[in-house]
Amino acid sequence: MPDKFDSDRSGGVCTAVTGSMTNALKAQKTLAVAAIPSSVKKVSSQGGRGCVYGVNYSCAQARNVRVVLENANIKVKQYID
Amino acid sequence: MKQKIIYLDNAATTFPKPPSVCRETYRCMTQYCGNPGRGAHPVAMEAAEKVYECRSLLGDMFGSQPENVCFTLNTTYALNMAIKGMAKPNSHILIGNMDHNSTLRPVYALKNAGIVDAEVFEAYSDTDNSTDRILSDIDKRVRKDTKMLICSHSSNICSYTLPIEEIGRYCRDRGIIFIVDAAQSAGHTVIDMKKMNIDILCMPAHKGLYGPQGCGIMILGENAEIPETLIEGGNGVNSLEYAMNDEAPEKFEAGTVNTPAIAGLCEGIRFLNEYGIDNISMHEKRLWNRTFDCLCRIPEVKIYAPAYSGPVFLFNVKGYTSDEVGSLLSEDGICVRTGYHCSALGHRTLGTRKEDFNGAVRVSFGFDNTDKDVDILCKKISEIL
Repeated sequence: MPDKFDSDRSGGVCTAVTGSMTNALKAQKTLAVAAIPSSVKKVSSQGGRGCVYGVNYSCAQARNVRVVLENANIKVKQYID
Repeated sequence: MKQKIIYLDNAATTFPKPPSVCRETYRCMTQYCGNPGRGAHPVAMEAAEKVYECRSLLGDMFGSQPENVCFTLNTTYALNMAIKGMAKPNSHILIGNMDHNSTLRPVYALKNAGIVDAEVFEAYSDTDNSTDRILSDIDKRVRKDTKMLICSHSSNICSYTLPIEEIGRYCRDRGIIFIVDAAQSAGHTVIDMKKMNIDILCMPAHKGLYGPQGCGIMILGENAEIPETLIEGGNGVNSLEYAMNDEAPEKFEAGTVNTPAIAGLCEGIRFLNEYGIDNISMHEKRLWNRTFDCLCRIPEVKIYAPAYSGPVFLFNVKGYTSDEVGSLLSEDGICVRTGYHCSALGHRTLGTRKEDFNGAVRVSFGFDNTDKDVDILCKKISEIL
């Protein structure tokens, strides 16, 4: 299964906002190990603070994504479902 | 350079770099060197992926997580960030008597400013360097207000190495922050931050890790307190906020990191992993022993810290200043460093400051050095006399 998320095939795109690029990449790699494709995306204007980064994934995987990221102690500032 | 060069100054910077390091640095600069963390377009993302890859490799090598690996300009910046970021007002700091100026000077500045009190412990002694003696010396200096201990893992002027696992355990048991300068040990010996109870580990890309110059590394231990920032600026996160974000590593990476150097460093780490740190260590010790075996036969040569073999060999030649010896060696393309090696404390401890040599001659080995290099060095020293 590819580790990069293709939004055209998604059936709905969800986002886990991680903040920094480093945390977004860590989230993407962690999800890839769990066979969940995701892609790093820039997420604009969170509460008027400026841009941050997160990972996009298929909403069909939303529950799995939360479990995987929590188990890996990856801080997620916001889930956008 | 047309003259045949025998490079024996790897403690200053390793040279030459493995070809893979040079290739990847070039590949970065020609194919993907966008500004990592400053956008999500393909070139910026590829650069960000490479930087993350390096964080992961370093985390694996030293026992921490990628997000705890922070890139700086060099080890000096990393140590300044660690020391000044963690210093508590009105506290007491201990440093080692072999520490580099990159530890001594920021601590001295803090002490001069009245922010902390500081003291030097006897990391190295001429008579007894047992772990018990070192810990006993630290213990007699620790006070109720001692909050931080900083030391060089390995000296930059001889091959003396401290028992940092035991020192780390001592510090952990007493709630003392433990910062390690691994400038001369990273890539020469295995370092495990978890096992050694290291709170912050600082090192350069360009010495034992065989990466390019212009990049240093500060690694935070997994449960370490997060330092305050020394430098603030843009880091690609929450650009509308006036304050820096509070999460590593971006908290400590204001401004653009040295992406080409980080790309090259990835290959330096891979090179080390393939070659084997233990193999490099054995090679350096063997060269040190070969140098010792030939120079100890020359009565005019004085060897410092002769009990410790490793990557660094320090000596003087009676009747010559260290600079004179260095100049004579340079005539034959033999590259060494002379003088005081940015190590005021180290040279005081080894006694060179009381002598007339103006410091000492430092020879430092790397993976590319050979027995023949040592033989040529020894022959030239004999010819000088």
